[in-house]
Amino acid sequence: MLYFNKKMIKITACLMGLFIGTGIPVLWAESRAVEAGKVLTFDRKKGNCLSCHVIAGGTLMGTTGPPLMMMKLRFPDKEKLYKQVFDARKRNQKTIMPPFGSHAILSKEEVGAVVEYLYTL
Amino acid sequence: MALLHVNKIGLAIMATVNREKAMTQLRILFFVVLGMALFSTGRLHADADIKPILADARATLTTVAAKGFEWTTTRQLIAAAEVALAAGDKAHSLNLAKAALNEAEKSLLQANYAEAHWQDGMPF
Amino acid sequence: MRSLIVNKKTNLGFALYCLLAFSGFAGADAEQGLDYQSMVQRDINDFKAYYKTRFPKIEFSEYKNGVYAIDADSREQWLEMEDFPPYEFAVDEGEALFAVRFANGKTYADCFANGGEGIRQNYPYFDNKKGQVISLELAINDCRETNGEQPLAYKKGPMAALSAYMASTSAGNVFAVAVANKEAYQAYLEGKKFFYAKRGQLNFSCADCHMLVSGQKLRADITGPALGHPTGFPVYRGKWQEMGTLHRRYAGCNKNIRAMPLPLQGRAYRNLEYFQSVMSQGLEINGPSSRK
Repeated sequence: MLYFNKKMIKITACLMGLFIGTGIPVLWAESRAVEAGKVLTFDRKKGNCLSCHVIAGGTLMGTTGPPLMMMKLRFPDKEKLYKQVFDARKRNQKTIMPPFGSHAILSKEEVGAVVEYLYTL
Repeated sequence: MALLHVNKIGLAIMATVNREKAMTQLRILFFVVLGMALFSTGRLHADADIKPILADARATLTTVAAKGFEWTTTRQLIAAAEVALAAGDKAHSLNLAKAALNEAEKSLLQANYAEAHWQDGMPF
Repeated sequence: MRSLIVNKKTNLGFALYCLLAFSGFAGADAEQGLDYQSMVQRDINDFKAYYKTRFPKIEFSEYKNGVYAIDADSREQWLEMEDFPPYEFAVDEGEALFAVRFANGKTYADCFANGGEGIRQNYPYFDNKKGQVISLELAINDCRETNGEQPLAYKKGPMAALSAYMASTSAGNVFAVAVANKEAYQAYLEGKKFFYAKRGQLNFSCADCHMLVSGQKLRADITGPALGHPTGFPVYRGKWQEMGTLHRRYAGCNKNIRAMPLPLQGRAYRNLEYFQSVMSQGLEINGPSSRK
C-alpha cells in the first residue's frame, strides 16, 4: 500500500505538471532519461561535470579530468561507470573526483540518468 | 526521475490509445491519486517518526561542526525539514530529515577519515 | 665524560653504556630539543620541489604573483589592470586610518615594531605567551582593543585597508615566518592538516585544487598554485568589486567546495595562514594586489 501510494504521489506530481501550461508538456513528452542526464551533467549546481571534463557540445570546459568520450568502450560494464560516478574513491582512494552518490550531491536516480547520458558519448 | 518514469507510462498510454481518451483517463487518475495521496500521507508519517531523525541530524551536525567539517548543505536540509513539518507536509519533511541525517553522518565520516588519513592528500 | 671514567675498565661495558647513553639522549631530543625549523625546512623544500617539477620554467620568485605566474593569458589582462591599480584607494584609506589617534591618544604605530612600517613579512608569527598564531589582522584588532577601541570586522572595509597599507610599506621584503618550538610546530601542523584534508560535500582539499590540478582549467578558470598564496593579500578581487582579506578568500574557497566557512581569524584559518606563509618562505611581499 505504501509503495503504491508513493508511486501514485509521483504520478500525481507529474500529471499536475503535464496539465500546467502548454509548452512544458511538449518538452516533457520529448524528454528521455538521456536528456535528463545531460541536463544534470551540465548543471553547475548538480553534476557540473564540465568543470573538470571536456564533453562534446559543452562550453567553458575544464581539463582536470579525462575527456568524457567513448564511454561504452571505456566502461563496457555500465555498472562500473555507475559506481565511478557514485563514488570514484572505491576504485582509487586518492581520486579528486567528488563522490557524487555517497555525498548526496546527486541522488541514486540522478546518478543513473547521468550514466545513461554518458553512455551516449 | 519520477518525471521520466511517468513520462514513459504517459507515452506508452498515448501511443496505444487515442490522445483524447488518454488525457481523460489521466485526468481521472490524477484526481483519484491526488485524493489518496492527501488522505494517506498524514497518517503514514507522524511527528514521532520525524522528530527523532531531526534531533539525530542536529546532534551529529553539532559534532561535525566542532571538528570544522560541516557541509553548507546540511543545515539547509534541517531547516527545510522543519518548515515542511510546520506546514504539515510530513512526507516531504521525513525525506528532508533523512537526507539531513545522511549528510551529517557522511560529513562525520569525512572528518574522522581526515583525522586519520590527511597525509594521503600530500602529492609527494 | 662520566661514562669514560666509570667504564674504562671493560670495553664491552663502555660500549654498552655509550649505546644506552646515546639512545637516552636521542629519546630526550625527540621530547624537547628537536630542531623544528629544520623539520619545517624539509616541508618547504618538498613543497617548492613539487612546483619546480610541475612548472619547470617558472622562476621561484614569480610565485608571488599567484595564478598569473603560470597563466600567460590571464597575466596579460592582469598587467593591464595593474596599470591603474584598483587597490590604490584602499592603501590611501589605510594610511589615513593608520594615522588616526585612538581616544587615549595612542596610535597603531605604538603597537607595532618599527612603528608598523615594513613588518608585514613577519606575520603571522607564533606568540609563545598567548600560545597561538598571531596574524597581522588579529594584531591590528589587538592593538585597538588594548587601547579601548572596538575591533574591526575581518572580512573587508577598514581592516582590509589597514592591512593593505601595512603590506604596501613592506613591499619587496621576503616572508620570514619561523616555527621555533613545539607549540609553534603544533599550530603549523594543524594548518598543514587543514591544507591536505578533504572537506565539504565536494570532498576537495586545498592541495587537490592548488597543487594536484594547479594550472589546469576548472571551467574557464585556472587554479593558482598554493606556493605564494598569502604574499599578495589583501586583494582587490574583480568578482567582489572591492577589497578583501586572505581569510575572506578562505571562506569563499570553503563555500565553493560546500564546506561551512569557519570564523575569520579563528584558530583554524590562522593556522592555515601560518602553514601557507611558512611554505611561501623567501617570496616577496607584494600586497595589496588585484585578482580576477
